[in-house]
Amino acid sequence: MYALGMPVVQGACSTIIGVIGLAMAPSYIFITFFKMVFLVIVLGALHGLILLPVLLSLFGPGACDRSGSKKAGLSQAASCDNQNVDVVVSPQQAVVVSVSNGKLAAQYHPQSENHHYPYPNGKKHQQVKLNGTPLRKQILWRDSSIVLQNGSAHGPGKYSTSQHMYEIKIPRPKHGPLNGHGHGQGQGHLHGNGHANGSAGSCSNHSYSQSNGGSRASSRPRSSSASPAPLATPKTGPIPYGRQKLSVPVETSVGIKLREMYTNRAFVCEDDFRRHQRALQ
Amino acid sequence: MVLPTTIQCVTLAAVIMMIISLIFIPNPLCSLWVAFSIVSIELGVLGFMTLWGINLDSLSMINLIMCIGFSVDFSAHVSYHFMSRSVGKDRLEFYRLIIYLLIVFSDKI
Repeated sequence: MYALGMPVVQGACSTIIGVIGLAMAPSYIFITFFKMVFLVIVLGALHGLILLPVLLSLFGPGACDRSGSKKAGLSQAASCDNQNVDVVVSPQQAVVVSVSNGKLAAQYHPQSENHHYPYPNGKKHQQVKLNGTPLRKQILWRDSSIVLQNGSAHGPGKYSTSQHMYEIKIPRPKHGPLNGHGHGQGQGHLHGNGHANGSAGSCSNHSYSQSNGGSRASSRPRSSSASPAPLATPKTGPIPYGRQKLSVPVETSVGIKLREMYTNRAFVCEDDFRRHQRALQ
Repeated sequence: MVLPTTIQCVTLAAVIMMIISLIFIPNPLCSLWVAFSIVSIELGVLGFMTLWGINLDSLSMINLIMCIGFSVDFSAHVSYHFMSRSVGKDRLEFYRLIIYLLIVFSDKI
């Protein structure tokens, strides 16, 4: 609909402008013709712009995940095999993406007791907040298969996606970027994906999510500023908390490029962005 | 004479458009919504015709039948792009291949 809305409006307007000349003719035939064409164009444009997208998103194809598609506002991308993706935007524009179809959010790093994923396992409906403003809970993933490898411990970020495009919609945070000085709870919850399970991975970076919601996550002791974060990062070990790695550029360490903050779209990688642009044409 | 012809034309156009959109938009629900929107637009035009004082004579009937084409335009395009967004890429390629084959064979014939 992003690509189609403007052409529909333009087509309707141009047709009406072209037909306006008939209205000035003094003949009954032309006036009738103008009236009917005008009516049909206006009604058709209203149907195509308003009624049909609503009907198709409610009762059309891919309406099986109806509640999720409503929440995410990605009704066009809604399909039956969607996965739910939680996205946390950090002030440094890092993106934490966790494919939480039950498998990925349940990943728990065994080597660190402190490390726990900020979302409780298996819970899909999770309130994610950034500086008090709740983000959208679920963001629909277009395709079911995605492999994101967190390569921050191994160098530049690697990603390998399937052949489809992904589009993440991230609501723009209302407040400015919080610097995380005052809160001890500010932590980069990193999810070391040392396990090469291959099926799916999680790609995460430092993200100062102030309140992650989730009863289990908040009840557990967090690695705040009191607990010193490990400085050295073993290859397969947990990635340390804290702010010491914030200087790592987001695009190389995460592999997710937050494409356009102000258009509320992030694309997983460059190829996906190009593919998305090609698909829009 | 005019009213039955109009009703027949609108109904036939909706049914035929449903079939054609079933071919091109490979989803029965989408084609159903396209047909529904055609009928709805025509009903809206008929209502506005009474409001604006246009009688249903042969002239306006011809216009009405012509305007079915306009009403198909937006709704079919919107639902097709809706489907092409939600349908996977390979499936779309499959249907494109079928359409290409149809075009080629219709040229040969």
